[in-house]
Amino acid sequence: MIIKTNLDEFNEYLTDASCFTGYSESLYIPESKGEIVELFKRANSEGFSITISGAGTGLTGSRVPLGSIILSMEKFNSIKSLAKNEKMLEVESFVRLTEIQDYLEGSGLFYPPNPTEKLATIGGNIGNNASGSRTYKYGATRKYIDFLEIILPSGDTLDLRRGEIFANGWHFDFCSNEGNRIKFDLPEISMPSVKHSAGYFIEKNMDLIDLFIGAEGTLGLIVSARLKLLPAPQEVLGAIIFFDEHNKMYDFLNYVKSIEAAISPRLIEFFDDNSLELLRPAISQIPSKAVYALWIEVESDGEKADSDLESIYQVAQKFTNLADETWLAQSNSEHKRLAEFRHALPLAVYEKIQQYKQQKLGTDTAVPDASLKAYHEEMISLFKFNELEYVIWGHIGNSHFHANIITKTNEEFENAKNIFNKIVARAVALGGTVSAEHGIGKIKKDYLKMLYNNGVINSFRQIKIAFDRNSVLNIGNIF
Amino acid sequence: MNILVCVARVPDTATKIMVGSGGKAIEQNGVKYVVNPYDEFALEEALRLREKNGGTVTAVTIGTDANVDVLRTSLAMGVDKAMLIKGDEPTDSYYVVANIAKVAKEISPDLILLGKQSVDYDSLQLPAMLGEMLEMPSVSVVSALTIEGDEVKAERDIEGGKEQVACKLPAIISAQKGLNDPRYPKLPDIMKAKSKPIDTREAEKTTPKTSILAIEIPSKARAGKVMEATDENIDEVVRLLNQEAKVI
Ligand SMILES: Cc1cc2nc3c(=O)[nH]c(=O)nc-3n(C[C@H](O)[C@H](O)[C@H](O)COP(=O)(O)OP(=O)(O)OC[C@H]3O[C@@H](n4cnc5c(N)ncnc54)[C@H](O)[C@@H]3O)c2cc1C
Repeated sequence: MIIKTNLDEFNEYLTDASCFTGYSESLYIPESKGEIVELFKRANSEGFSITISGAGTGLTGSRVPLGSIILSMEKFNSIKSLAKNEKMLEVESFVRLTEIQDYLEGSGLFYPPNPTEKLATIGGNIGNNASGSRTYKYGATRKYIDFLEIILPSGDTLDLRRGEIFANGWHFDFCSNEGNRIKFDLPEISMPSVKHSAGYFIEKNMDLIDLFIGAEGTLGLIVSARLKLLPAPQEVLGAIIFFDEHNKMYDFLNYVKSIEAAISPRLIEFFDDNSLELLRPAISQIPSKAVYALWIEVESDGEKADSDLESIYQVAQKFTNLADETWLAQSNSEHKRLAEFRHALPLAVYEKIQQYKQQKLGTDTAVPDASLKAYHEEMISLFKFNELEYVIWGHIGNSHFHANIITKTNEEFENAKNIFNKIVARAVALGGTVSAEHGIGKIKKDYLKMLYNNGVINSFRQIKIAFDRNSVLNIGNIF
Repeated sequence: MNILVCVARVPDTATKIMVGSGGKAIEQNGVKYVVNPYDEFALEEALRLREKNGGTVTAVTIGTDANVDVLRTSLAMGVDKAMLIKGDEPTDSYYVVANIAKVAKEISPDLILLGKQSVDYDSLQLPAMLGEMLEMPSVSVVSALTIEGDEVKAERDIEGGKEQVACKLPAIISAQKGLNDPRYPKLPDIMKAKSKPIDTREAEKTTPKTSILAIEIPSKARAGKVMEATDENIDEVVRLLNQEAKVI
């Protein structure tokens, strides 16, 4: 175990990409599983608490310590094995998405979830049930977790395979590897039926493994995981289609999401007029008439590619006057260029916010598909009426927007915060969620209260207590 | 103005490269090929000159049938004609130059544009050899270009600075990054390019002047950079992390 107590050596671990900052007196870097078990046991007997740290790209302060010691998993960074036939990849928890991507290149297999931030670790992704652009077709991280090697807050361990331990209705009763019995009840709720990552995953007769995915490290530490892979498509066609009108973009979207559509994208990402404006200085070729853009990807193969291109063009022509301006990507470097177009946005917003020395105000709400357009229009009129500078982009295929408000003064920020709360509340009222992918962490707890009443949040607490009687692990996340 | 643009077909810069079983070439299986990135600057410059002055732009490549894809990309970007000099896959620069020179003599372009190097074998020899063979002025590593009548003014990147060079047409210009911002091929143009004719002719064999003995993957040691802890360096550190290390 490496232990650092000189703050200068671990300052960056006190915060994450949300800029929320905490405090701690020491950083522990374990080098074996045994060391972690030992530390957890000591925490229970001596009464200290521990916060697990991944790469710190989280946007909710979930890895930020509030006085606890920090436990960084950075030495658990190896890819253990690839089982090609079973299409499974075993990785330790600190392996980063970019490493998984590089490792699998050329193998004919791929790991479908594709969160934008490639420096994030798989442990962090499991903590948040991260999702990404391809979630539209493939679902979030949860779907691709087959096995978790877990250390519980008590110091007991759990080797958890999907399909082995289920709830009996709304009740769990099982034993750790060491034979200690754990039992608790689940609140009888139904989660919003949209992309969702706020509070524990709860379902009648659910698989225990699903409780740990999206638990923000509150129920146990993940040492390693086995990931399900899929055969990589032979060819992927990427396109950025520009639109000259709000309604036409929605007509296009509804069409490509319908079963009879001539193309069925695996990814649909949205950029609004302000996003395009923000990117124009760096990317001069954005057509001047464009008010919106959609980035889509269609899976294809060598033989079908030409006719798929034709279909993309025909569909685009039907819904926008700017079809002739469509950008296309076929080679890896062209795909990278489109992905960079997407990744440049959060960075551009981040720079602006820093420039004004303001905090980030970005929604992570998702709403049912049928309400998306009205929700979007309501957001725009609220922002315009209140004269706020805003940028909206996001995973429109999953009816999931990131609406960012850029404020210049503290006074403006207070006003913006009110509007922001209204928008989140509106998503809940429509049957959506307060957080579709980033989680609750330490800075979005008020929003969880918009989604669930006290009774539900209390039963979340009871689940936490069933695993962590002495409040040892990741205290301050979720509730 | 008639412009000839030389286009090389190179492995996608975003592809993992491995050495093939013979140890003298890269493993081609699973590798996607693209237009050499420096040639994209050459293509873009040619198209802009044509848009200003009229004339035709011809893209030429040398290699196997597989090379047709880079000609299609060139056509999608907007060149008027595409020519494949069909022969062995080129590894010896002399073979490439001899064949391109032959074409150039036939169509007598006012200007030959090409990338400063191709990012596969990095021989950097073409622009100069071509100049010698065609007895034309050859200006390499050009990052800004103006042509008025037959007066060429080029700005070259040199160690630690810029150099201004003048010559007359016909001339050879090799393109450096920064010369322009190459246009993204648009979907309808990509589709139209698929059915355009490709002028194909046989390559002339030459006696190789060089041959490849072996190639290997460089070891992955990371070169660290030490910078002084001054406020002035903060912007530079951010820039390096963003542009070179690509971690932020
Ligand atoms: C530019 C940018 C783009 C982003 N895009 C996306 C996106 O598209 N989709 C998305 O979902 N998120 C996105 N995020 C948010 C972030 O990348 C994810 O939340 C990611 O899952 C965090 O991973 P991390 O390794 O940085 O974890 P951290 O931030 O270090 O930790 C996140 C949580 O996981 C817990 N944790 C970490 N490791 C373990 C472990 N081994 N066992 C148990 N718990 C653990 C931590 O305690 C914490 O609660 C983005 C962030 C940025 C800055």
